[in-house]
Amino acid sequence: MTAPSPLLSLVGVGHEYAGPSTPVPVLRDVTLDVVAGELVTIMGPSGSGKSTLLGIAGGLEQPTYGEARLNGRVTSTLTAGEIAVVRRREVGFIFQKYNLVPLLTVLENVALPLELDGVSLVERSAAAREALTSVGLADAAHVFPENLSGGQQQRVAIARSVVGNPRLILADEPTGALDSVASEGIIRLLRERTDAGAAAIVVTHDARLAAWADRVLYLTDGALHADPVGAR
Amino acid sequence: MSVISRLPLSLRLAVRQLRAERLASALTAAALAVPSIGALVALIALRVDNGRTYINNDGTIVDEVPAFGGSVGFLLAIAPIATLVAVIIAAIVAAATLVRSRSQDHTLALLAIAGADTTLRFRIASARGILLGILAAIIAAIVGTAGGLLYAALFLPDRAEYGFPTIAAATTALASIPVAWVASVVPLAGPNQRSVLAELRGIPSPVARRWQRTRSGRLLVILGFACGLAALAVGLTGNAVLPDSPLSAFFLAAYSLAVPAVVLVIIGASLQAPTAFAAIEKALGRANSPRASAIRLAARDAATSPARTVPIIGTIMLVCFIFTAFTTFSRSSAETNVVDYPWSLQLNQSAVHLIDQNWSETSDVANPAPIDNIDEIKAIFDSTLDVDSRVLRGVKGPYYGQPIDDDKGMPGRMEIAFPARGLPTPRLATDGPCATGTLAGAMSPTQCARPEPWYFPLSDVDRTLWVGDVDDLTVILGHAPDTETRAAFERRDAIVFDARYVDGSSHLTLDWFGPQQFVPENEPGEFLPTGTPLRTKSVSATVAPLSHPIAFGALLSTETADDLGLVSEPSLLLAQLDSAPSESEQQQADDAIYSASDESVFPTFELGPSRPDPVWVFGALLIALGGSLAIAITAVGLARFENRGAIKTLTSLGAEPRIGSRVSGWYATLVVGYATVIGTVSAILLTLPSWPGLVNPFWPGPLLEVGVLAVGVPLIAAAIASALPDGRVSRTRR
Repeated sequence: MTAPSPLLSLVGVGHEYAGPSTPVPVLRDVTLDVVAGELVTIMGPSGSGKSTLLGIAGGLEQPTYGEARLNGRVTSTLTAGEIAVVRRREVGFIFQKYNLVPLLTVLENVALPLELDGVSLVERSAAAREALTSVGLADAAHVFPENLSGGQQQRVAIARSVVGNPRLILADEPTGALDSVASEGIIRLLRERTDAGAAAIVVTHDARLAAWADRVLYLTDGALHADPVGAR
Repeated sequence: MSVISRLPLSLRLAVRQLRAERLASALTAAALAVPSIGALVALIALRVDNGRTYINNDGTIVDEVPAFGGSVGFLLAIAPIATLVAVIIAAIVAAATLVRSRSQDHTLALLAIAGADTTLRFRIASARGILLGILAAIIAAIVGTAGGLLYAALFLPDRAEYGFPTIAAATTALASIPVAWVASVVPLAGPNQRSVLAELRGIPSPVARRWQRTRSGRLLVILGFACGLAALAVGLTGNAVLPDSPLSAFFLAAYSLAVPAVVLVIIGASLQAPTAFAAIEKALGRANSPRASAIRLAARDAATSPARTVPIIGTIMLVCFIFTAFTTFSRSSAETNVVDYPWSLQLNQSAVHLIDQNWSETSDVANPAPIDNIDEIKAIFDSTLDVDSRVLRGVKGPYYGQPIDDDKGMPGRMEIAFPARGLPTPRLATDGPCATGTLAGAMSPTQCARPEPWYFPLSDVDRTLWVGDVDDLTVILGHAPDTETRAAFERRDAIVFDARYVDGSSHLTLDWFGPQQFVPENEPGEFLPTGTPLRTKSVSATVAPLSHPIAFGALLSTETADDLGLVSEPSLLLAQLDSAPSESEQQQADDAIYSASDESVFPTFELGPSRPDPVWVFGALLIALGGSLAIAITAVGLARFENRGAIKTLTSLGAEPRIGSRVSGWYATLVVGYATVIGTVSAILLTLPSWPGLVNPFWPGPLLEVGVLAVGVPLIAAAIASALPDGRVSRTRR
């Protein structure tokens, strides 16, 4: 029996930001494979490069060196338009600050990936309602995000991240701004998605969330380690 | 599901964005509508003004030819400034779009995580531009049509026969749409790829990018001022090289520099505004007083809210620019008109020419002579104007015959009947005070630098030499002569009204010419007597300059005239009025005199140059002041609403109770002050080329009114903002 091919594969990935005088390294030679059904959490201190790692995994950033493969395709070889298509069909993002579009209603926010993909109004509305129902916010479909609490907005963001049934969910501190009850609800939702066949990478400081993970990795100073000792 | 929800994503986002930024959107649309409104008013007025038709006796219909000085002239006069205003408006909108791209970047980053591609940026900007254009077109159609019809109703009441220019009006209004679209999408050109993650995490733009924007704004402002100074230099050069050619190539070159100077400064200042406010915030970083804190917070708000701040700056800037430029040009134009005004008599004088040409019906010979009923005309003149006029006696001088066609249809001149001893005219002195530059200090230099004609008119009806008494001298001068002049006249000096005709020994020389010195065709020497005079005589003379130099010649006493052998005859009825007669009084006198004469005898009135009505400038100031303040106060209210959360936080942390009012006051001072100063300076830049040609080489604008607008608006807005109570801050759920 052969091992399943990884949904996400980072091979020797490094990333640098432009500094005032010299480039500032953020990631150093990161290698990581994530397969379908796997929930991976990445822990690490602030500024260790966790968000950048997620950005590269989801095609929002390109590595300075190394290679990122999404479902077998090297992201650096894709055009901006092709990456956008991959992002809307195969990747779902969740952020600590929710990042909902304030000019769109809750329903429109959730349906956004489908709308960008050309799905009809009827179909995308139905799918968005279903996703909202799954996070318990069916009644909030036509309000604007600013009228929701933080926990509700995060659930909307999760509904948006799963509405197109993406194969990879990337979550950046999804419970960072939530209380313990709301956090557990989010964790359960993510676990349910991975149990249904999706893969998820969750960047977090929350040890409770790590307890639900299949794998816990540690990122320190841009380098990825399998254990906190290695991280030190 | 609402209608908006069914719109395409880019259009839906644009609609909601415009709705969320109501004030900024309304201001932008109103600014975009300004050129179309102006064009529509002019278009309707022009159509109405020129749409009148006349039916000839033969039944043919002719349209009235548009008169220069009517709507066509008005359009030609305002066209350059209207074009400039349109360019500036588009530039402001473009600059506003550019500086607000920071918030747009965030929206696009939010969309990017859901899979939006980069073309969405262009589609949203396009949709926004088109929507703004449609809004502007609607505003232009309503306001422009109403304004045009109001203009027609007020100033062109006999507008029975005209059709509303529907297609032209619609086209004019719709012209706002492409302008708005271009202004919205042009700023998207250039690098706009920004890290989505950096945007979402609120990481400031890369240093290079911010530096580029700041540098661009600063560079544009510097370039604008450089162009303005260059325009001034070219204007100065033109004035030095070609002082009497106000429309020379130098002038055009100066304005071709001044116009881009204005556009560069306005765009640059708009781009630079957030950076300028950020610099103020930074400068006050270490200050610790409540006032400094309020200024710092206000500056930070202005720097970080370009979507609100820049359109407000742009609109107030435009109001100040239009007011200052228009009133400055009007004032300088009026000043030039006063200086260049061609006086015909002294101020508030009225005259009736009493000489009839007496054209011969059988030959091309004229024999000018006084009309028959002088006493009757004088009686009518005096009674209708309630004055005691003087009948001045003039001496017939030589003149050129009137241009006529001879019996074969060939051009020629009507000949004058010269007496055997010729006709006298004064000689221009070659060694007098004007020629030698030794004019007495008490005499106005303008006496020697008078414009054409530099010689006394060789006219068949206008006289150069006058014969009379002190009362005649008084009415010619428009006031009683001074003691010296009176004494000179009483000792039989000739009183000369133009210093150039008095020689170095204080004598006036008269030359008598005959027909041999006056050739009746277009030949060399046509405009001056040629050859040797028939005879020459001199008389002791005293100069008595007129308040407003006109070609009036010299007055001699009866005795002096007799000594010289001069023959005088009644030539001019002249009166000094106590004040300017009304139009109806003028018309009454005109009708009465004309009806009493078989000839074309009529009175002329000298009321002096027209001056700008201060009420007009004051009215314009009130409109500009009111408009600017309304925008400023609305902006302050919006800023306070948007910052209510921050103010609540500050208050809960122990900030002084009136921190909200203080911040609002300083926000108004900074933002509105920036706009009024830049708008005023831009207008001054535009007027720079015309400064050197002015009589008073200093800025000709209405200093007080412009000062009130530039300084008063920010201060009043700040005072109102500071006086507003903080009120309760509602809780916002987050």
